[in-house]
Amino acid sequence: MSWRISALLRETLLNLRANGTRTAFLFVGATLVFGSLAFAELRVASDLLAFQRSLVAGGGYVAIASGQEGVQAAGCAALAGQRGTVSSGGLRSRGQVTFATQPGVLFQAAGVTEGVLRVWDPSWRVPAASGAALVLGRAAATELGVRPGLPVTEVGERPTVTSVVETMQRNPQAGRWVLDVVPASGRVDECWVEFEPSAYEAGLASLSAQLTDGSVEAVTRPYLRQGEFARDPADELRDRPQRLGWLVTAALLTGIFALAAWFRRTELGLYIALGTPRSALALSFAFETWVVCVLAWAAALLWAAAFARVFDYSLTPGALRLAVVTSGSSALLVAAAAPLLCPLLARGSLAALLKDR
Amino acid sequence: MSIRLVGITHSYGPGTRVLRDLSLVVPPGETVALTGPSGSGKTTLLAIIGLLTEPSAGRVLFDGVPARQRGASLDRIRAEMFGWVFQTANALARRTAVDNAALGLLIRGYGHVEARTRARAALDAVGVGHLAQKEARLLSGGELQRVCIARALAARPRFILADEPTGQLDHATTLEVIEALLERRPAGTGVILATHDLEVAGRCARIVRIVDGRLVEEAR
Repeated sequence: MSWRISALLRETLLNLRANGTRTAFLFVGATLVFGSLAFAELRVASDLLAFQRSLVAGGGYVAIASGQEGVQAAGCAALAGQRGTVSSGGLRSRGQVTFATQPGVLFQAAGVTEGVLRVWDPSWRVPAASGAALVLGRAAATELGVRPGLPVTEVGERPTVTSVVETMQRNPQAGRWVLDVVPASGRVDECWVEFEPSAYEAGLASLSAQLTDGSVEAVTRPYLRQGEFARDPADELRDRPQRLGWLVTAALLTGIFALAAWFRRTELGLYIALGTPRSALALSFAFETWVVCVLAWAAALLWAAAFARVFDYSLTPGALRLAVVTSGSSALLVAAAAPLLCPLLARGSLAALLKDR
Repeated sequence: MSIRLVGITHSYGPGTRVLRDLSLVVPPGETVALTGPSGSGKTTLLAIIGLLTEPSAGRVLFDGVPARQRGASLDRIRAEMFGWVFQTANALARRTAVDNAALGLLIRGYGHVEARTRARAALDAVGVGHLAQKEARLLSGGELQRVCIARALAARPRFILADEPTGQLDHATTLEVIEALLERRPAGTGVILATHDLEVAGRCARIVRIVDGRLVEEAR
């Protein structure tokens, strides 16, 4: 018969409490290391994720496909259902129109599928329309002095403005356009596609092949042309040096825990001499490490978040997730590796361990 | 339970042979003093008897059976058969006296409450019950040694192995500690102690003298 688990865990907690200075040293050390890692992640991630958000908002992951005879509207709309695609839709120009309230002022008119309106304005929602309906760009609506729900008299027609689409960020010139929402059939002049950031490169590369119809080849281009020195936040996030920080910090902390255990060789020797199996000793040491690591990790996240607030970093869910995952990986590695050192340190002659000072 | 050593030889490396073909029988409940000059091999012999060190050659038999053939791990045999009192009073320095005295019982699988109850009784038996809640590092050498004796007694082992338990104590404290060790032990518990002190050795039923790793003399 050997240690009861409950007694062993209680003994471990009593040891942690009794050796308050050592416990506090390990806790503070682990908190500082985990916290520094989490803070570094929050700093980098908050910067890159903010940049990525602005790039997404500005159409950084939008591509346009066109062809001499246009592209198939149905094929364009179908892209929206593919993995990695946010939205897609076609645009067909239909010349210029004028309105009775602004005689002589010409507005560009176009037929668009719903998908293209979502590419231009991700917040745009399909309105409940009835009868002849128009969607206006913000600038056109301002010039005409109308808002959704009001009728406008187009020459020869009297349609209702169903919504105003905000295109300033992703297609500013469409601000003065008058748009009919049309079904995805026939051919369209341009196909607009927005990809997820991670799927953008591959999506852009395969877009032409997906929209080429027989001998009519589709030509694709990114909405924002990226120069040689353009930054790609997705790449930067993936290649950030902090991503390996969890390994470095885990090695550092495991070393600190090992050093603390090194000074306890006599204690380890006493437990073993009195009949404690090395497995029980390892469990006790593991439990001790876990308690310190979990508490230190929680404290580290709190202080990292508090410091991030002080420095005005945006604590987005994405940045917090990175900080939690990276520092948590480090904590897990320490919790797994440090207890293994205990039996290693307690190897060799017990008599020598007991004499050790 | 009796202990029988047969042809024990041990060395810590080439040219450092500390025990040479030593044989000894210790019946159940007997008190034996191992004496001899420094470096004669007393501590090593205790470590071999207590299963802390494996001899280079020879056999240690418990009731005629080698430890490894007794159907239990060495840790378990060590916990159930031996209580230890070391020269330097090895204890958990920042834990209380009662925590230290309960350690052997906890290792043997006792629950926390029962272990502490028995540990308190053992501390009372050796005269340091009033120090139960004091941290070990704050005790004097004699007090701490008695706590270690209480730790050994509380677990009711077959043998208490004591390595120079009074080596760092004054004469008066030495007598108190030896009395606690020899007179307060449970019936049937033997004591094997290594000592330089002939007065201490004289309190044991049997004295074994070791010189240069050989058993040279036995006296009763």
